[in-house]
Amino acid sequence: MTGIFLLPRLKDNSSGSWSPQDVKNPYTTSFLLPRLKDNSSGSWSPQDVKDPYTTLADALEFARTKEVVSVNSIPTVWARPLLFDSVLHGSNRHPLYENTTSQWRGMLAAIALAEYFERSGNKLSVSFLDLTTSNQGFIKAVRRVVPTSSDRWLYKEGLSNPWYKFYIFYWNNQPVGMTSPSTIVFPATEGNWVGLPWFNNGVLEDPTEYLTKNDIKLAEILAKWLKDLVISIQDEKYGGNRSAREQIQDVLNSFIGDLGFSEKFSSIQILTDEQRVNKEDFFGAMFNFAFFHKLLPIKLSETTPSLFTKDLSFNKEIPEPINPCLHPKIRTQEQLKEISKDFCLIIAFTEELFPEDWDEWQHWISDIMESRTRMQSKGMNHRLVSLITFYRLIRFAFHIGIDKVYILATRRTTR
Amino acid sequence: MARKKSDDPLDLTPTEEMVLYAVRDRERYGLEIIDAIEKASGGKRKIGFSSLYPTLKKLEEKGFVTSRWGDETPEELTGARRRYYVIAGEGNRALNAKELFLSGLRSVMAIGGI
Repeated sequence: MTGIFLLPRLKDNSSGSWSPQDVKNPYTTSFLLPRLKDNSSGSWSPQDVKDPYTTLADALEFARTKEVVSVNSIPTVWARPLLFDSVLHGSNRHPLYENTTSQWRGMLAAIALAEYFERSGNKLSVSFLDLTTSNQGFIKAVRRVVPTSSDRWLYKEGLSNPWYKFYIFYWNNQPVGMTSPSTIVFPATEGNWVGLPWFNNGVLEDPTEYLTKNDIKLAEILAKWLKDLVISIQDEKYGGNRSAREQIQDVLNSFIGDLGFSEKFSSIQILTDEQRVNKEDFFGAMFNFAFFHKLLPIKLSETTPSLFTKDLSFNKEIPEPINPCLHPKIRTQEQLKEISKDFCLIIAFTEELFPEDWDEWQHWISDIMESRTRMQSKGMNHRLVSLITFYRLIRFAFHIGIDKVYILATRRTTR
Repeated sequence: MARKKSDDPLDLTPTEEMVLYAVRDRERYGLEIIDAIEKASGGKRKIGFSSLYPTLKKLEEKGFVTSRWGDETPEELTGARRRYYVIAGEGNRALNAKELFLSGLRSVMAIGGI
């Protein structure tokens, strides 16, 4: 993830000119400045600075990995949760249904069994984020584009929009996903779940096969945890949309079924969150709205050790962690006065978010994205596709004259 | 030097002219226009995104083309929609005037009138 400042196009009737001064910060100086209108006054004042592209390239640390990665550049911060929203509330004919559902299941199972994995040194923690209580530029921008469609909300809880508040999950202190009003949770694009048995080659997988093949009891208690979640979602006191709740219940029940259970469970009992002594402490934050308290992991106790005596030794080959290749260096971040924030779902957005320009120019974005899809379908090198798309989006942002753009590029790991 | 801004059809830029021809027979959206120009020229003439859309906007402001939003499902990730363009009366008149001018010019040159 990196940030680039673009200076706005001067209005035709404006006076003055851009005068790059601070050569220490190339991002506010001389590159990517638009051509002045012929009838405008003023001129560009080129400075003798290092090639800004070289400077930018130097700031990017990239370690080649085995994984296939690509850069996405699309103009919404909410693309990732909306993808899960679209898939889980859609039909299984969605082209990404299998892949997306697998990741979603993988994250739910990781949450349910968090206490187990903590014993092997992998800590899942949570922080709460309220978009309404911060005026920090980044948060403000995110807040301005929260999804507004209420027909897929599983809860409302008196909020004008439940997307304003959510919990962020961290796996070994690295963000790996968030809660979602429409899909309960969704995993981040590049969540690094190293140490989780169903995280292989950088991909979060469906845990069903791992669990049912290795420990049917573990599969059963997970199924039971999921069943509790299904029941909680049914509760109308949370104010969710009925059809949305039913849809997610269906998806959860399908997961439960694939684990080999439906309605009948053996006599296995799992401790509920109410039975926890320090229930607010496990994730480091208290789940205090909607049904999220049901996400507290299955409690391990001395009375149930037999369930966990078998090591989850599914895959000892832990892949190398993916380097955050597109995070700028700390020094660069300091120069930009913007600390790199990676929600792992960000792709690109502008602080002003094309306020009036969106309606006027969205077809441009539509065509850029369609062209991207075409290039991908032709088998063009994915890096080249990303680069071309990235360039086109820069040109687009540049053209509409927005005064500040952050280009937040994340890599998407695919098989 | 500033380019003269005019509605005079003879002042159409090559890009404007190409775009007008591309939407003359039927409505097309941006990517189709790019494709049409590339295909018609056997790949020799290409128009980029950042040239096309400002050109379309300018042509629409001049009344040379009209446009409408597409009815298709918006692009999945961005929610962006297509916009279809088709030549308008002014655009047709501009192309006709230019063709007439070129035809006249050829005739004059052929008979050595100048």
